[in-house]
Amino acid sequence: MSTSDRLKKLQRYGLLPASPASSRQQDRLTATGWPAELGFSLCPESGVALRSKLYCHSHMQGRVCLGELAELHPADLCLLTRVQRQPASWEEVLFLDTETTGLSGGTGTYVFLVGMLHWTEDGLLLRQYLMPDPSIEAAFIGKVLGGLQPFEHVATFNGKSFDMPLLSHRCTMNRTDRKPDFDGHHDLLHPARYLYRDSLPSCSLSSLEQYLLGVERRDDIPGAEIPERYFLFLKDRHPSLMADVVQHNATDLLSSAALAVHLLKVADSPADERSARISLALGRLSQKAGCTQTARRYLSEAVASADEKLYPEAAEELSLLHKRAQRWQDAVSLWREMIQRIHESERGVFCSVFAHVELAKYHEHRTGDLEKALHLTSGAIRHIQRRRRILGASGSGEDRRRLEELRHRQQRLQRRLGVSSASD
Amino acid sequence: MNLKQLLSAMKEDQDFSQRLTAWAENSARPARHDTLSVDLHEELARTMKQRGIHRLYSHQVQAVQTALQGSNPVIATPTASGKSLGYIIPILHQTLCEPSTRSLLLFPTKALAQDQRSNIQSWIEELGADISTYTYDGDTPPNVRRTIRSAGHVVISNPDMLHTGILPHHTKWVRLFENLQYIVIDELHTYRGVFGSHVANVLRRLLRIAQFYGSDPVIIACSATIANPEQLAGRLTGREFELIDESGAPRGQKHILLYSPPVVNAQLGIRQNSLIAARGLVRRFLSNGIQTIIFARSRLQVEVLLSYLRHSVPRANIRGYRGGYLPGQRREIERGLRSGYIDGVVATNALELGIDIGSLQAAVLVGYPGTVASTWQQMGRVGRGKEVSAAVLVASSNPLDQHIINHPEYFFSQSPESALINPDNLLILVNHLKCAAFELPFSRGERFGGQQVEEILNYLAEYRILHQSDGKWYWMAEGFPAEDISLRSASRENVVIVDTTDNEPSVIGEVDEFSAPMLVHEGAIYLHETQQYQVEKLDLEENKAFVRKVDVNFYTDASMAVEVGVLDVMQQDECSTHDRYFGEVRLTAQPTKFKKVRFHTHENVGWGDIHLPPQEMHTSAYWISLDESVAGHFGKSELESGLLGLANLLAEVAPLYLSCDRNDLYVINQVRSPFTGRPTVFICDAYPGGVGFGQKLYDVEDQVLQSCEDLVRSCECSQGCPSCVGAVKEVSSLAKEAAVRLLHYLSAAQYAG
Repeated sequence: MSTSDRLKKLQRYGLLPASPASSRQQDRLTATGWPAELGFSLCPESGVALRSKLYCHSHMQGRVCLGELAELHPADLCLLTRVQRQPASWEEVLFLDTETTGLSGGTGTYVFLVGMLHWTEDGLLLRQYLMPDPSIEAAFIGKVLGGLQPFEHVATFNGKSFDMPLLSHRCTMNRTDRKPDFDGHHDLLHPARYLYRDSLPSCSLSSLEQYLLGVERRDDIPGAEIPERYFLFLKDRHPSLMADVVQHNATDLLSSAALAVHLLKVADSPADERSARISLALGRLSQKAGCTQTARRYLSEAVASADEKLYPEAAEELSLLHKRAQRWQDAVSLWREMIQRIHESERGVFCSVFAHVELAKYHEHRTGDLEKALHLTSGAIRHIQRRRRILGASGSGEDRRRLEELRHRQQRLQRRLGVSSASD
Repeated sequence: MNLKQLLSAMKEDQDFSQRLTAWAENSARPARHDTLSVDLHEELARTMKQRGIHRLYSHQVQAVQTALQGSNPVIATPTASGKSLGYIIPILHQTLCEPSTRSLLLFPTKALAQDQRSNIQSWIEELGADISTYTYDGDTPPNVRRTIRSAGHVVISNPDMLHTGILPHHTKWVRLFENLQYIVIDELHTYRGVFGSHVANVLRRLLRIAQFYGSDPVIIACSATIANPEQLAGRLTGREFELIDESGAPRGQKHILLYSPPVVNAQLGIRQNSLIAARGLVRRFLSNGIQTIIFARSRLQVEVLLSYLRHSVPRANIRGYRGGYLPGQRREIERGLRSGYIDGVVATNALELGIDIGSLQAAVLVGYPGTVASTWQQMGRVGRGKEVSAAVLVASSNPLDQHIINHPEYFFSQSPESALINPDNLLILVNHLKCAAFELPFSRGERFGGQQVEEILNYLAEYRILHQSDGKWYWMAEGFPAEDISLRSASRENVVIVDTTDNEPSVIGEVDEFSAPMLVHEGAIYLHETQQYQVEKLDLEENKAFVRKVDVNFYTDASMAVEVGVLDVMQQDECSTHDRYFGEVRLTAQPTKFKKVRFHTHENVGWGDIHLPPQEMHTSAYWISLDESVAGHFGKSELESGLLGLANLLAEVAPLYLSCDRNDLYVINQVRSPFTGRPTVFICDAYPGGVGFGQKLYDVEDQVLQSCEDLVRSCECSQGCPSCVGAVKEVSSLAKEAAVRLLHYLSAAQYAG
């Protein structure tokens, strides 16, 4: 029995998956009409398809005018994305997005469409590279690397863990010496999450488009259907199969640029136009980016405008920033303020306990006022005990742990002060 | 009494020694050393001296030299002969000389990998060299994985992880593959049957990737004693090997005893249960402080025997060890055995492999392990170094056991079995071709393990899994093919066993999905370290079995109804008395009932129904159907019993020729088969698609039938017993004579071709 007969048999028994039979259409590998219909042109030597489109500076992506980038500092991007090297101008930054044959990764996942968008004097230039067949992948990757090369910075949405590693693996698969290499990779997903995870149902690009940018996608192809479209396109080269994908990719890029505008404007706007929560998130981001001064400004704003619920978080963060910078006066006055603003909420009590403890440490180690330190420590213990009384005996393990620490501190202070009375 | 004294006491004990069919003494043998003809790196030479290794055994020298010369050695010397130095020395030497050197070590289990990692780590620490070694398996934390990929000199993994975790992501392992100098395949003999056929394909993929990155690694294989280590290594890797099987390691004196439990009911041919016989024997060892390992044939037997022993030797610290115990618990038991605070362990063949449990003194094998190779492997667990040791095989009443125990000369002269694999099983091959195409496009004319695969690639392209273009085939589908293929068995998911006795449910173990209906059906008693649990609910969708602690005096044993239907005939042949076939069949298996069996007396104290859906499987089979001219010599009930007896004999004898386990086959008899219209016996492969057992049986039919006839004729019972055609009350008193007559007809026949 021939191999193919045996294969058919295994399939008939359900041991091999029965895939939908191929459409058996004329093999249109040699079809020539599709690039023009999609707005692409084929590079005669390599066979890679390329499409360019210029979007003028006044182009509106939803409610956002992309030309506004000109009024924003590209260097501020680093504040949001924690990248060390700062771009000097928008001309240095390339927005990038890829379309792939799957999301599971691994060496069998191909990148087949790479879109790039960057600022020029005449407008924003979109370039899209399409791989019409995997047999020319090496050439395709070469073209893509060529397109990336002039840029020092790349900006993506979720590209740090997906698009860039995948491109890099495709380079390895084709044994190219070059790899995508940038001074800075700015992933916009990270700051978007930081700023909006508490206020938006999701931080996917489509959710951000809907809630922040006012972008409405009509007839957009769902991302999950994209690989199958490409597989079909490889079979019969029908341009309409790819048109939606090409459009999807372009929209993703334009929205990424619009998102950058939005985020930078939020960061740049006067304090009263931002919620305390956003200021707090910006403060934390800039702290992580190592911009202490900026962080202090955002956090101060957050503390000033915070409601009761947010105040403890913001105040703790700011006071620790002061403490690390050894700005003791600022720190101490903030801790005092925190104690005065005690609230009965769980977070409020912790916040108050936190301030008590920090002040106690300050007095024990800085001013040497042990009496004050002891007094503050005992105050913290009372706080926790009161809370436990209210909640009943089932206080959390966290409470018990804190209490233990405090008692330990209390005893040490008592020893140092020569007080022998046992703690209550 | 020490072991020597105890053995002489046993020799004088008439009751005991008359049950023995053999008492062999393997004499002690001194060490044979040799000198390396190459100079090792001076640091390595110094460290070896520090470790007290002044001279190497002859087989170690041979292995090291072969590897350093760039040939592939396969080392097949007995357990505990120091095989691992055969690869540790070349790897360390080469890595010291050229720090970019990378090595990949494969072990069949995670436990063995961890064992070897700590061994190599201790070498590295003494060397003080900048060499790093890691295990890479499902338990490796994600943050460590990156380091291992780029900086691990010696990566220790298992075939499953290679299959799903490394090969499909080879672009993350560039450093390893570009500099891959050594591949080590330890416990080679475990890669047989279905598992071996899968692993061979994984290795084909590995070597394909290595070639892509321009490396041509030396392969070092280590095997327990089997008949064909060189051939197996070759089949697994497609390379040529140099066989090293003359051990230079010293050996202490070992006593090997074959013990046959007495017949307790001569009329029914019932022997004393082997578990009960073993209990008495083990008690002797343990109460004399002799550290003992007991091998049982199944998980259930492990638990039953463990509870017997704890009862009869309450002072000894005895533990169980089998698949399904969680890793932490296993490690703890291994440590306990090494340090000596555990006195005895009852294990399945899970402990047969080279896991380091130190040197025990006595081994008791409850039931013949199924193969000569496995028997020596289990007996090799005792008597490391020069000390005296003892190994006792306690035969059960099943026919194969009785055959072995009554022909000790056969057992001692028999060379160990061959390990068979069939990497070109079409189903297995197709699945791995998908994985291989995912890893790297196929080019026209490219072979896979020497196989022409263009037809299969075209088929996959036709079904839009691959895309063919410009003389190449590219993976063009979503998903991750390796994740859909398990190397170990038909099922991938394990059913976890959740103890709900306390408020906080906890996972106490697991069973594979295929065994779950038999072991953890609702109402089953699940034994774990002798604690009894009753299964309250088996949720096959969630793969969970919920159990609750109970204290009852019985255990449960489930039975399965298997039906067979012929799908296709691949080969057939006829002669005057019967037809033989090889073809494809559909099996429908359904657990039906379970018995409640009382501890110690083994009497049946009740039963219950099992309500689970049938499992269906397509596989290959060999079957024979009797000609009318033969069937006509038998009365109706005579024929029925004879056929059943024949089926039971075949079920026992066939594994001998296939080097497989009894459980790898389903044997089914039909008095009037819907397919042939005649009395028919089917022997089916228990793996979907089959691994070639049917074909092999078709080819050696005459030998198999001859062995069945020998077995049943030489059995001393009068009307049939569990040691030949089956217990009289199950097969009727007509079975033995009818089976003998049937076999007489069958073996006299000649095929035309």
